[in-house]
Amino acid sequence: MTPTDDPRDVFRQRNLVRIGRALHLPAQPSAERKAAWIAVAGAPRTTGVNSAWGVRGRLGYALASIGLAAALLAAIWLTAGHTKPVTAAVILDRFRAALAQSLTIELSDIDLGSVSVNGKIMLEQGAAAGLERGFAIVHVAFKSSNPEWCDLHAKLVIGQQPGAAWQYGCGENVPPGTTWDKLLEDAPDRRMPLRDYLKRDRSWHDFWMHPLDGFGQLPERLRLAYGESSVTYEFFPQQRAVIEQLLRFLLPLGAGTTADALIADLSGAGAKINHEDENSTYVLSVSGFQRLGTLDLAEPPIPDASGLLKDYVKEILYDTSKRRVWSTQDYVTPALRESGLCVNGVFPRDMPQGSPEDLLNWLRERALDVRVTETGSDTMRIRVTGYPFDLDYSGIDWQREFVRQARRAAVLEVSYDAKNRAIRQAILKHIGGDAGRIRLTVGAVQLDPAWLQAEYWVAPRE
Amino acid sequence: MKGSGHHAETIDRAFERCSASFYRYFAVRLRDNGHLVDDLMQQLWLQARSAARGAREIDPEPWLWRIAQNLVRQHRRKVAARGSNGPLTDAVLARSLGERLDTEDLPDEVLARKEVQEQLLLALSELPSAEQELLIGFYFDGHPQARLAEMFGLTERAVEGRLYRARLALRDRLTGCELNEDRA
Repeated sequence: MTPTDDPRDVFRQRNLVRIGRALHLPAQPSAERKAAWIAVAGAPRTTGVNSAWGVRGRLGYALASIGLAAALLAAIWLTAGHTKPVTAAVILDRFRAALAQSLTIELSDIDLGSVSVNGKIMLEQGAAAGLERGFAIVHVAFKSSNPEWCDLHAKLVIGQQPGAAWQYGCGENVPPGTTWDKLLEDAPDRRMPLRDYLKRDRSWHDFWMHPLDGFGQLPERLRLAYGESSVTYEFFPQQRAVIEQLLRFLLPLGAGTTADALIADLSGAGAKINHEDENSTYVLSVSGFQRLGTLDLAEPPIPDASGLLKDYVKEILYDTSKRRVWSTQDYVTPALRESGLCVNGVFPRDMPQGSPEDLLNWLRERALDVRVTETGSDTMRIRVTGYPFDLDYSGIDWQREFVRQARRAAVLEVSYDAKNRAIRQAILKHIGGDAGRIRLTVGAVQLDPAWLQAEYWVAPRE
Repeated sequence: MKGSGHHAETIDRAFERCSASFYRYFAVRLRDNGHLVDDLMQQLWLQARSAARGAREIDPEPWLWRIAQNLVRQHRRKVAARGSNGPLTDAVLARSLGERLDTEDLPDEVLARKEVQEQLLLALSELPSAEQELLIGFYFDGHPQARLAEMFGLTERAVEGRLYRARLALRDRLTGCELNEDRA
């Protein structure tokens, strides 16, 4: 059969044209890479087994073959002219060790939509017990697109050391006549105990094992008072968590994943090493995080709400004598909470309250299950399950877009001082906008002991 | 026969001639992980040069393909514990695609699906080198038959006939049981 008398070939040809348009073939390598395939170990000789050359050649070749699998990776990044090659494996290994030392983490111009974040986190690791201390200061600037909060500036400070831990917040650049009140929750005097580690019976060791827990978390809400009135700004959950997520993104470089898997991923992500000759500094640069499997900057999935709503329970306390809803209470299952969805709940003003029957009928038309669980002399408690409340996906959408941008544009640079065999710094660039970055510096931190005293911040010095 | 197989130049010529296809074969199965692909290309060449078992074959290409398949198998065994295997043959989907290739116009939305593209790439990238290069040159790179004839030293009539056989081979790869390296 030939192309001309095979009727099926007509479809085949048309489909091949479509396939040619739809598929992306792997790009072919450069001539240099092709040359390297046969040049790395040197061309083996094909001599007779009895010749001396043959013995040496085979021995050398066998050794080359044994070491090849490990050496090939290093050879890609081998930097000529130095006695010891600097590879991604070397740099990552040093970086892993460095993350157990004292660190300074600086946040710069990270755009979180309505606010931008700057800050510094200092984690001091001492050789002797009692020297471990942590300190964070995070500045949240409200952007001009944020109508009631434009150009305001919140400063959040966390201090931790054995036996003492506190959080503090205050406003800066606030208009005359306004004050900050309850900057953080449960903070009547703007000074509060830390809610995380020490209160939850965690040990100081936990702090160091997970040094970024809690650091970088934005508060749930900020409230600004104008005399007797006030305005509250609430951060949505994804906005609060994203800084911590970014910080956690750096951690797998220091622990957990094996260097082999990391390097394999990094090579796929376009990792390269540049050498700055004048000071023996090598910079491992990684981009293309959307292709990485090892480093996790995960785009949150869009949750399936259909299975979650039925677990959403609203309890309504109805005053039968005054014929009105007295109070409502929402119960959110952990699954719904963890989904990141916000519920646009129904308010009492939306409900018919003229009689209990009106209210119950209205609810039964909408919810999966409505039960009167308690009846008193003038109250009635109603439990509503599976009410089809509106779900707010905007936080998840925002986070997905944020992560998508970061995975597409972010660049990680790890600077390695080959002379001293030490990591200088690591920078994660282009996150939350072009200017956004997290810089991680290894080594002794310049932590003024006074900063760890809450009084220093409660009554700031000029 | 170890060490006394193909003359080194024969293997080198076959490797050079087929390197684009071997590279594509590895790249598709390792999700375009450039470093690993380089690694396997080096191992392919070294193994071919050091253990030329295919000595009696006139053309070492099929023998090189077997080495390449074994290298992929070995790599997959190594990484299986990490769960990071590349795309695998889905025999049902591949067969369905092969049948539809002959009987209907495949819709764009079908061809846009990742799993469909993976099956097509898996099948395409294990065709013999000459067939791959012709299909890619004509359907992917858009070279006219006259240009392909010039590139491969053939007549236009021969290009037409070989393209026909390459299309059939691709269909057979999809519908048949030739995709066996993934089942190792």
